[in-house]
Amino acid sequence: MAALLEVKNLSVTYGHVEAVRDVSLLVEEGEYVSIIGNNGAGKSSTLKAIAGVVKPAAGEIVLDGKPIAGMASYDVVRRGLSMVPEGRLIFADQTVEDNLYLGAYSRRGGGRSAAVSEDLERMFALFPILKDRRQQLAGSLSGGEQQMLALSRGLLSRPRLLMIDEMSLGLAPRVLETLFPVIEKLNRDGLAILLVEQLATVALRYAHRSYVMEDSRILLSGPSGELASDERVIEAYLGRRKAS
Amino acid sequence: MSAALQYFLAGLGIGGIYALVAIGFHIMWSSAKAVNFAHGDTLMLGAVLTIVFLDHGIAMPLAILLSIGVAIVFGVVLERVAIRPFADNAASIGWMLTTIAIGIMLESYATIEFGAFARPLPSPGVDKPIIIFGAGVFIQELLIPFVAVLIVVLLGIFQRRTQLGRAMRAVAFNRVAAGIVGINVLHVAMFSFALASALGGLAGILVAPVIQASATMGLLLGIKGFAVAIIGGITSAPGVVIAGLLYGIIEKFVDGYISTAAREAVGFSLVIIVLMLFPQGLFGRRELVKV
Repeated sequence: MAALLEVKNLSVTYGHVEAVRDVSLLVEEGEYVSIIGNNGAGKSSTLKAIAGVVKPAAGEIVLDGKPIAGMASYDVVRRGLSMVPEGRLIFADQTVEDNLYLGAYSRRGGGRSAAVSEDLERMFALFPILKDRRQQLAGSLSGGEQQMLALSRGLLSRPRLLMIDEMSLGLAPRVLETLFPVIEKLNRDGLAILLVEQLATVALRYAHRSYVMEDSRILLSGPSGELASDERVIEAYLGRRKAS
Repeated sequence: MSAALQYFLAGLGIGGIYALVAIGFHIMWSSAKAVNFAHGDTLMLGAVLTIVFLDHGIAMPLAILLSIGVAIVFGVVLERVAIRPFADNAASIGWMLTTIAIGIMLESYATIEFGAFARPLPSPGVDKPIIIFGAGVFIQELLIPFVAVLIVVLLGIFQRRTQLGRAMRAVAFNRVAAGIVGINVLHVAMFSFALASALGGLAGILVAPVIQASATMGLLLGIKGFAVAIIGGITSAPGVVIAGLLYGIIEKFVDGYISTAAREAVGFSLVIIVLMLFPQGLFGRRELVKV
């Protein structure tokens, strides 16, 4: 296996606040990695810096051997790294179908090519409800449907690494039970996943390896199974929910 | 009856111009969350340059195309030098000053080159009025609102059927989300300013046969177009067109039934009242500004 994404000593600051401090992490090709930690630990800022949404204050980000730190988000997605953002950020005033076409914006030929139409059908097979709703405004969808749309939109750029920020936020457990298996399937088909998740139990169940972030730093890392039985993790992140 | 119809038709004509100007403001605001306050002078540029080109013996269709071309270049350059450096976050307001300044400079320069007098732009649309139920109206006056409505319809189709059009809406909706799907927000802003300026130049050429072209024609048209964009709801293209047409009609009725002197007072008072009642404009959407 080769390193697909390598982050070295990344720092992100907002004014005088240091949101991410000296974070290093690795995602190998086809790997499923999660970052867990409490609200405000710096997980989302880490993803945003990788995706080019915020500029890192320091550090290296290497995708597929090429440095991408400081690159604009619209260029990062062209290199095969796609983000499903926190809060989903779907285009609520456009139809489901138009949201999907926009997901293919970075691809050659834009929304018109046969390959894009095929991918659209693939998304409809993954989430049949989106097919029923394809002409509806995205803003009229339920929270779970919006998350399905955000995932599909992220996939339409044909990424090699999909980063998903706080997917569970505001969603019912029943919805999560349909979403997480889909992501697992995508990973089995070869897509590398970097998941940021407050629901540590779920993240540790699905991800091969995980990082634990606390106070802007990486506190622990290792195979998810080991972390799930680590005293510190159980106490701080799994305590109330009890690892199953 | 025929007097009322007369005011209505004339109002549609002038309202169509406000609508065209306001569409430009809508397009620029959507992509850049900033507008070009020299947009009225883009109209002037279109009208005055067409006359200058005609003076040089260039045929009308080519003169029109050249003028619109210059208007596009003006809009694109202005976005680059007077807006982009001064609108890097939602709290920046430097672009207000820079675009007003450029408008004033352009107006002064046009006065020096073109002269301080108004000149008509010849058009077959103002040869002789046609009579509708006793009310006389020039074809040109009917053409203007028709073009305004046509442009909104075409803009709507463009924004639903093409990737660039969808990208314009995406950028208007959320710039971060637009970026992560691969849209270069700066390219969309540049295109939007080019489009708005092309429409501005066209609006100037359309209105010049009716109100005459002069170096100073842009100021009031720009301000009223902006007022109309705000009361219509700057986030809604159909909204600003409806507001523009209504505003023009109301102006002509005030002209006719009260006096020309009362026109601006009544018009701008209405603007203030509408804004008090509808802070987002009549058809606008509340904008979420995340600083």
